[in-house]
Amino acid sequence: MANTKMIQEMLTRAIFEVFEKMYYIFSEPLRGDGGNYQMKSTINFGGSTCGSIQMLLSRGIAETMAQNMLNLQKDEVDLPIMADCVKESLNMICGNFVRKLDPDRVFDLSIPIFETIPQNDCDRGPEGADHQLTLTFVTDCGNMRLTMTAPELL
Amino acid sequence: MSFNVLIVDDSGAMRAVIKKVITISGFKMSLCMEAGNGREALERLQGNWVDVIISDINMPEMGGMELLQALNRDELYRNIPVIVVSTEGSRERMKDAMDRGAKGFIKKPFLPEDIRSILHEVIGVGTDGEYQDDSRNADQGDF
Repeated sequence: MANTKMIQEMLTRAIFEVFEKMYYIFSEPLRGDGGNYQMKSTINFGGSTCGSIQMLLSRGIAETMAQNMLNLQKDEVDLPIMADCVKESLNMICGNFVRKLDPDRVFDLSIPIFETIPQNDCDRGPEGADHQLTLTFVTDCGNMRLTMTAPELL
Repeated sequence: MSFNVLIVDDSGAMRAVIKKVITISGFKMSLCMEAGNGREALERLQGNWVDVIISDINMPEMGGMELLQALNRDELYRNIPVIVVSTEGSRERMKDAMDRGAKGFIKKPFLPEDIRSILHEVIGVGTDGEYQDDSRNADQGDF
């Protein structure tokens, strides 16, 4: 349990650092599933331990990420730009997390995968299962939900 | 003094941010080339002189570590300073990058000042376009 709490703190700090530093988005932890999500990205990591992180987020967050990172107007933001920002953010979150987890060892990260979630698909991410940690956050521009699956860690 | 830079990252958004940071930091660029992976970077180098390469590690087709190795093997490219900008920042990875010829390492997420100061250190050109003292040392990371 203590280990899970430590992992939760490390992942939360990684999320805050990436969203605040690169995208100027400030988030707060939220209880519950956080509502509808329109986008999904997944990354795997492997090193002294291995696992995956899936991020679900609302379109509003992806739009704001692109606008803030690239200084774009809302009508200049299209799906490929949002996909690029979402994948890069998850790459940074995962990299930041594994650096905190084990600063001495090399971790290999996969290239993140991006998908849109169909409107009538109520994807809430993986159902609460063993070896998983799910964190939900609220921001001014929408919600996001990250689920880490790591059998050796959780 | 203006310089040519090659930014290598599979994220177009990240390439745009790095380019913007270099520009607003006052560094004069005569040419800014971009590549989405190591293989494209090697193609861009053919026929173009580059003063500094800023490269990610985790990229499809050919990653940053392989790019460093390829540059190191080539007599012509071996001396081009490479700054690695990556989410991967373990001590072992940083040491490996330095051993393969990287002159600096920046961890993502970064602040604009991180890029500016490492460019000062690595290529020795100030924002006023003047060469800096040659006695400077590149950031070797916190081994």
